Amino acid sequence: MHSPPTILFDEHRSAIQCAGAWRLDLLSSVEKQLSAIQLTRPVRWSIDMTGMQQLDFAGALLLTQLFKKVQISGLEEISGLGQEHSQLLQLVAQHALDAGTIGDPAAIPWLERVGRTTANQGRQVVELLAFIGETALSLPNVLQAGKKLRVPEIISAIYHGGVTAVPIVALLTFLMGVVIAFQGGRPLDEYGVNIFVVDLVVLTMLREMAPLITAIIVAGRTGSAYTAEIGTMIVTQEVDALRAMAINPIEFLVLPKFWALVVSLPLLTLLADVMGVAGGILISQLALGVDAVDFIERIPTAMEPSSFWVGIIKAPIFAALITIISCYRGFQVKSSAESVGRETTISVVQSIFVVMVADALFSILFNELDL
Amino acid sequence: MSDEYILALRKIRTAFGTQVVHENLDLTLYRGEILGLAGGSGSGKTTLLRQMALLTPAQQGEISLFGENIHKCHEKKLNLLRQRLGIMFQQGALFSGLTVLENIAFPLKEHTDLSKQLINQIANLKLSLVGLPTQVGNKYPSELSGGMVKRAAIARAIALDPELIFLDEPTAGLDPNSAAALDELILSMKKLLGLTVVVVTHDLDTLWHTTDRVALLGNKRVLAVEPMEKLVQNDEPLVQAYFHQNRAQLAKERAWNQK
Repeated sequence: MHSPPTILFDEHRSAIQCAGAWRLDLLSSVEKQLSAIQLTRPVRWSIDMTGMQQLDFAGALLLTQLFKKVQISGLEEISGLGQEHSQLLQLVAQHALDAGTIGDPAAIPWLERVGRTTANQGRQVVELLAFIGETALSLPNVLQAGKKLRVPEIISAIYHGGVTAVPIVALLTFLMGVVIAFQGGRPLDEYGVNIFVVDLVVLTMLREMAPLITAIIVAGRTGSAYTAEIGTMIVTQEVDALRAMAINPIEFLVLPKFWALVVSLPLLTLLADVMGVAGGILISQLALGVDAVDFIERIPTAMEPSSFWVGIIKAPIFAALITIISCYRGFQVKSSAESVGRETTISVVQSIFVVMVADALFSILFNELDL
Repeated sequence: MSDEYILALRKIRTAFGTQVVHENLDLTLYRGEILGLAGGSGSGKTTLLRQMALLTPAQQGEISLFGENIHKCHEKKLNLLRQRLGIMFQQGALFSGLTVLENIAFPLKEHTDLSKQLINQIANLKLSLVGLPTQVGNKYPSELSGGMVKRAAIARAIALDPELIFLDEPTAGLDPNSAAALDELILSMKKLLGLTVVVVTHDLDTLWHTTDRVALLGNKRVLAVEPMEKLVQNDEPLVQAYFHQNRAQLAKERAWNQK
C-alpha cells in the first residue's frame, strides 16, 4: 500500500522531492542518505512533497532536520504539503526546540573512584553497625512486651528457612561424608589403619564441615530470600506502610527471621552431622572394609564430646550473622528492581564471607581453649 | 472515524476458576476512533484490555486485530502486531533501572536501525509531546511524581508511533489541569496521526471530552457502546445505575456552586 520513503536532490533546479511513507520502521535508509549529503551551494531550495503518502512523528522530525539543513524557515515554501502533515510538522517544530540529550555518564577519574569506593565501604561498615545496634535495641522491647514475640511469624519462618532446607542439607552433607571417607580412606588403607577413617570422618564433619556447609547452604537459600523479600517490600513501599502504622519494620521483619534461623540452623547442623557420618559409614563398609558396627563403636574413642558441641555452638552464631547481613542488605535497596538483584548478590557473597571468617576465628579460639 | 475496523472481539468468554468474568462479549473498534472503556470494579476492564493488547490470550472466542485473526498467528507474527500497538499501564511500568529518556528510547533501539542521535531526538520529542520538560529525561522513574510517571509511560507507549494505543486509567492521580492537558494530548494524537485509542477510565471528564464512543461493561458483557450523550440517556437499568452515582455528584457540585 505504501512505498518506502525516498528523497531526491536535484542540484540543477535546486529542488528536493520527498515521497513515500516517512514512517518510523522504514526511515533508516533516508536517514543515512540525509546525513551523508553535503549541500555545497548556498541557494534557495524548493521542496516538493506531493508524493508524501504517510508521515509520522519520526518522519516529521527528520523532515525538520532537512529544513534546517537547507535553511527553510517556514512551511509556506514547501509545495504539495497536506494539511494534516503541515499541522504535524508545526507540532514537531514546536516541541523539537528544547531537546536535550541522553547523558552518557561522565567518566570518573580513577583516583576519585578509589576515594569514592573507600568512603562508600567505610560508610557501609558504619551503617551495618548501626543496623546491628538497632536490632539489638529492639530485642528487649520485644521481650518486655511479651506477647509481641510474633510466634506465628517465627514458626512460619522456621518452616520456610529450616524445614524446607532439610532435603538439600541432608543430601549435600551425606555426599560430603562420602567424599571425605573416600579421599581420606585411600592413604589410611595403604598403612593398614582403615579404622582411623572413623576419626577422620567424625572429626571433620562434626567440628568443621557440617556447620560450615549448612551455613553456606542457608546463606544462599534463605539469606538471599530475606534480602529479596525486604528489598521488594521497600520498592513497593510496604516498609513505609509499616512505619506509617507505627510498627517498627525491624521488629516485624527482622526479629522473627532472626529467631527462626537461630533455632533452625543448629538443628540443621545436627542433621548434617548425622548425614555426614552416615555417608562415611556407607563408604567405610563398601570400600574400606570397616564394618558399620565397628565404626559406631569406635566413635566415642575417636572424639571428645566437646568436638560435637564445638560444631553445634557455631551454628546459632552463623545464623545471627546471616540474618543480620541479609536483612541489612534488604533495607539497603533503593526503589528499583535492579537494586533488589544487586543487593541480593552482595548479601549472599558477604554472608558466606563473614561465615568463613567467623569459622576461622572460632578455630583459633577453640585451639587456645584446648577444646 | 471510518467503517474499517481495527479490532474486533467476538463471543469472548473469560472465567477465573468458577467465576465467569465475560460471557458472549462482542466489541468492535473502528480505525481512528477513541473508545472509552468504563464499568464498575470487577467488571473485567483490565482483563479485557490485556486480551486486546495481546498480553493474555482469550480463553474462548475470537479476536481479530489489524485484520488478522490472532488465534492463527504464530509468536513471531504476534510480535510484529505488538509493535503496532502501544500500551500505558496503570502504574506506568517504566523500567526502574533506566532514565526516563532511556525508557522512551528503549523500544526504538530494539526495533529500528536508526542512528543513536535520531533516536535520541525522537525520544526527546515524545517527552516534550506529553508535556514533560527536558530535564525530566535524565531522571529515574523513582524520582518522578505520580503524574510525571503517567506522562512518561504514555511517551514510551507512543515511542514507536503505534496505530493503536491502550491507556489504562491515564488521568487517575493527575491534578485537574494535567488531566485536561492529557485529554487534549489524546485528541491531538488522534487528529494528527490517525491514532486509534482505547481508554480505560473512570474519569467522566475524559469520557465526555475525548471519546467518540464509550463501551460500558457490566453483567459479563458490553451493556452498550454509544457516544456519551446517548449513553447517559440509555434506559438499561445497569447503565442508569452506573451514571446515577456520578450524576448525583454533579448535582452536588451545582448546589455547592450556588452557595
